[in-house]
Amino acid sequence: MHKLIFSLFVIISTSSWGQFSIIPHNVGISYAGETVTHPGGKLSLMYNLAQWNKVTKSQRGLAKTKRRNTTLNVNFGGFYHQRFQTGIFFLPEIEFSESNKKGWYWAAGAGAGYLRTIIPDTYEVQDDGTVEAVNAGHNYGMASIYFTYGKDLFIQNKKPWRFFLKPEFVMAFPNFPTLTGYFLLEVGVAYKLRQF
Amino acid sequence: MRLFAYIILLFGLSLTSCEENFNLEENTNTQFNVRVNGVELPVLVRGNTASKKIILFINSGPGLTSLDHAHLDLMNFKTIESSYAIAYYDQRGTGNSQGTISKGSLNLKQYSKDIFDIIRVLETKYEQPEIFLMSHGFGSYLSSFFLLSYEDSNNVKGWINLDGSLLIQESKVWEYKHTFLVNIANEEISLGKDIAYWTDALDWAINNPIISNQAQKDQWRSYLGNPGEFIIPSEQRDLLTRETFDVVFNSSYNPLPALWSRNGKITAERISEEVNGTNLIPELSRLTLPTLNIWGRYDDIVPPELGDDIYNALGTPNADKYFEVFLNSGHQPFVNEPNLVSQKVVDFIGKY
Repeated sequence: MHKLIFSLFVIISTSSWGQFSIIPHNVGISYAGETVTHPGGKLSLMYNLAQWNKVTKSQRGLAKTKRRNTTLNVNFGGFYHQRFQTGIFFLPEIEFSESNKKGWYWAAGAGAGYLRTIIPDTYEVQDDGTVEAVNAGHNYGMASIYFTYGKDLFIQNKKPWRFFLKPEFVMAFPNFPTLTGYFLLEVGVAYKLRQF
Repeated sequence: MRLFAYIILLFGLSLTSCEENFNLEENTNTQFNVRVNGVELPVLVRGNTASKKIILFINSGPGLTSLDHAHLDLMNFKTIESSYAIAYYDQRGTGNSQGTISKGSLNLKQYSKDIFDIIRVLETKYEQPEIFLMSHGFGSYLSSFFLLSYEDSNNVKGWINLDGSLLIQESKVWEYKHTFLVNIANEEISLGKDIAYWTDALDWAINNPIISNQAQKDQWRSYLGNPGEFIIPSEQRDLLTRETFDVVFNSSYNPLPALWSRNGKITAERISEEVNGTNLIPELSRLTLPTLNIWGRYDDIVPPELGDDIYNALGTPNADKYFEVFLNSGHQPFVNEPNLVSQKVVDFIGKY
């Protein structure tokens, strides 16, 4: 059984990487405000992993087609919370999205990555009683869950842009007692570099 | 691409543009962190540092935050800040303290070391100001533990004890609470208020000299009522929506660990476990620093009868220790009679 699972994993990985291009399908940039108002930014490299259409029938018997995607978003970002900390993170996320024919879409996803904090204006009393400024900050694992709502202009107008709003709850761990929460609100734009 | 570079530049500039200053000013607002044993404790210094007198405020709980309270001025200390500076800090394990905090480090010895180091940093950064401690409730236990632990090495000039609980022995505290009810009943009867009611309360207290079981505690409570009901002043300070938004979106606070985490509760449990059954009052004879004790007459948590014994137990010469009972206050005189608290604190510090 283990051999079978391992073989499947190798086959799938190999075939996926065979098609893989380092150039993302979309590249996004967003304002990512920690607790909304503490400024931050995020650069997202968005790789479509799969795309298919879901056809349903309306009550009047008309066909409705929705486009569904799974995407890997590779995010680099940071935020600045004055007097509290600066955070710099690397956060890959897996996303599922669904868009209608007008281009409106929603997405939900989760991610796991790394967060480095930098704590400003920190002082420490030395063994001899003197006080020295020290560099302070911590390394954390990072996990996120989020929802996105936006509009993809390519679907209806063939313009390579999409806009989105993305509330995101982020956890940094280990922390006291187990993790520390953050809320990020992203408002961003993505540019299509290539089609799936 | 140019837009992205511009945003990165702005972000980089913002990181370097807001360095804190430690000038001696009448209207200081400076925040920094003190790292003690791998944990960063945020300290907010606000008010008149030009006075070269800084009050380090040690909040109650255990486990209560301070910086958010300060941001909203929930303790009504702004008037004091116009005369002297106040340093607020989030205790280890609470609020926005950061770093690897082990549960084992949540103990009084470490908390005292935290206070010691914060004082050292205040002294260094503000050109050796005079340091006073001001503490409320359990914060006063912590203050006195610190003062006793660092008896020979602290440079604390004076201590303001606001309804401080230095006795954590339940049976003994209930002895004081029993006396509290008797005294309140006698006072009300002598004032001619609800004589039948208070006579009944007095009779009950006389027939129940020891309050130990829950039924007795409930009966005791039913005579006095909860704060805000009839005799104990309300201690609620209603937060306006605007204030809540202000602290969540417009302060140095990350509200998630400060307000919606179990960290304060865990901290409280750890510290409570350590102090349960202890009594610092017999140790107070070793303290000789000037002390202002402020008590609400209707403090049902740490009754003023207990405050009086704390005052008497202090080794401070009589000329340098004060016991002020505020007649319209409960456990939080700074909520009930803020102007009077400010005036007494400013006068006290002005003497030293």
